[in-house]
Amino acid sequence: MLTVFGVGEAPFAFSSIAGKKFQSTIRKAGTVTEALHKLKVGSKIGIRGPFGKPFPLDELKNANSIIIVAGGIGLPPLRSLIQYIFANDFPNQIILYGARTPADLLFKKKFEKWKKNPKTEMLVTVDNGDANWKGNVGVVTTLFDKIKVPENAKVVTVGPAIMMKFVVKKCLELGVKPEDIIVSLENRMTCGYGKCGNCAYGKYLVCKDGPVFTYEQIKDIQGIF
Amino acid sequence: MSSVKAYIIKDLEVPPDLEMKNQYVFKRQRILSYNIKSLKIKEHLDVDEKLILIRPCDAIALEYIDKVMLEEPADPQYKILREQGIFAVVNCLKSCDGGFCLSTGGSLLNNGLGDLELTPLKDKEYFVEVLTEKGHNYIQKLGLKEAPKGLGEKVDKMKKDALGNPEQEIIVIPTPEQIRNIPMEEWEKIASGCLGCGFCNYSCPTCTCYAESHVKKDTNNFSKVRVWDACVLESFNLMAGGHTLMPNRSRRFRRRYSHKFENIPEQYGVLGCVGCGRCYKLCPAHFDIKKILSYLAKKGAEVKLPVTASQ
Repeated sequence: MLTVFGVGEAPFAFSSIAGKKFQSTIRKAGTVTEALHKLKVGSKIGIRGPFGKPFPLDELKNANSIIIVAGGIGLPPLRSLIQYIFANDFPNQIILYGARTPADLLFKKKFEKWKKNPKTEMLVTVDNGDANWKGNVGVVTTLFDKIKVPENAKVVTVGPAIMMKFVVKKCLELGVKPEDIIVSLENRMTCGYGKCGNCAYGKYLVCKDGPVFTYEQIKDIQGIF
Repeated sequence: MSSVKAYIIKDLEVPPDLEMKNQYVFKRQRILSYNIKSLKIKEHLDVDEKLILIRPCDAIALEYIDKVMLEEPADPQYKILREQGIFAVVNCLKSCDGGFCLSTGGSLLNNGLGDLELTPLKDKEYFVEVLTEKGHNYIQKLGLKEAPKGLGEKVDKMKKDALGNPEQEIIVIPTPEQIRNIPMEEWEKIASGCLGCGFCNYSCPTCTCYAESHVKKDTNNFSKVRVWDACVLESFNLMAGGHTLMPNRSRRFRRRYSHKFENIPEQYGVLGCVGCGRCYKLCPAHFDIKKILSYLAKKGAEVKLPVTASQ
């Protein structure tokens, strides 16, 4: 939880492995993020946390292979996972990344480095290309047609709720088990430790029980999925 | 009980419905204050000892609230208030309008909860029984008059009479399984006409959700303030950019009932409703929780749906 003094507080994910320093990648979308964007280098902000449950690193390490599916601003939290995977001995991974336009693609400079990793296959797409775009066009789920989904793969997806909904649908069609689909939900959060109730989703509090869930855990909740 | 001293307390009034919870889960509460220049932060944890008058249903609700708010890490403000507050449970000698506490496992009378138990004698005057040391110390400090001999027996009779003739309709409370069996179309039907105003939340003795704001005092001084929030409001889950996981009113309506009658029972082993009936009394659209619960229990027993994959 980051506080901009005099403005408010909002929850964010790490976009790097968090040590003494960490990075967070923040899109200007509301009051707090707008204020964060206006801050000058050296400004002080408030930090509380970390809260909640992280990606299941041990499980992923022992998986047969990993498919990482990112949508738009969903890439930053997955970038911390990618960094961790690269720094440790993880199974092969396929990274699928979609954004609205080429201009919306984040961490573009990292793509070449990621693709060079012998254990990594990476595909990128945009919903709408521009004059200079020579890559894939279409929503992120279309990338599944261009890869061979390994057996017993674990899928990790982060992105807008509607995008994750279709990724989950596609994965189920491809035979991925609900317990092997890992999503990170976003919700309004106020306290971060299970008191305020703002992040209630079915029987869960996203701040405490999540934000990382398996699809198996949330499939019966009549919310966005 | 004759061996335990009893007292008389005067000039007390049980707060109206919408003020009840405000005695211990505040409508508006300062969490901390800070100066944006010095970044000095002051936490507001100062709570004075005070007498809090609640009903037997509220006392049961409080046991649930404790489970949530005192679970580590505890809510600091609530924890202190629970330690400082003297909770006096005022017995009901007859059923209130709309109340259905007997159906939710409660009673018109207190069941040993709180620090003091009060029984109404006449207008603003109560017979006081001491239940805890904290209650005892408070009574000593007030220097209350001891109840005259023989009044205890009279009060016992009044209580017995109240229990003997509660004049309260008994309804069937749906089980978690029955709630789960209700299809979304049914919820859409039930929720239709709901204004989504949040009064059911505000009046509910088990609702504790809150929102926070950073409120400006002057150029450099701000306070982090929390206010009651309501899960039936669209803003409850609304994120920057207009995103939400709970996109429509019937889903939010359903979540409220699921939380009280499915999730809380399964997670904490108690009902999330104490049958106070205030959500009906204060609902501007006249949604009668008793009718809704009876309907849900009936429908939930009828409809046996297989576990559906999400659409």
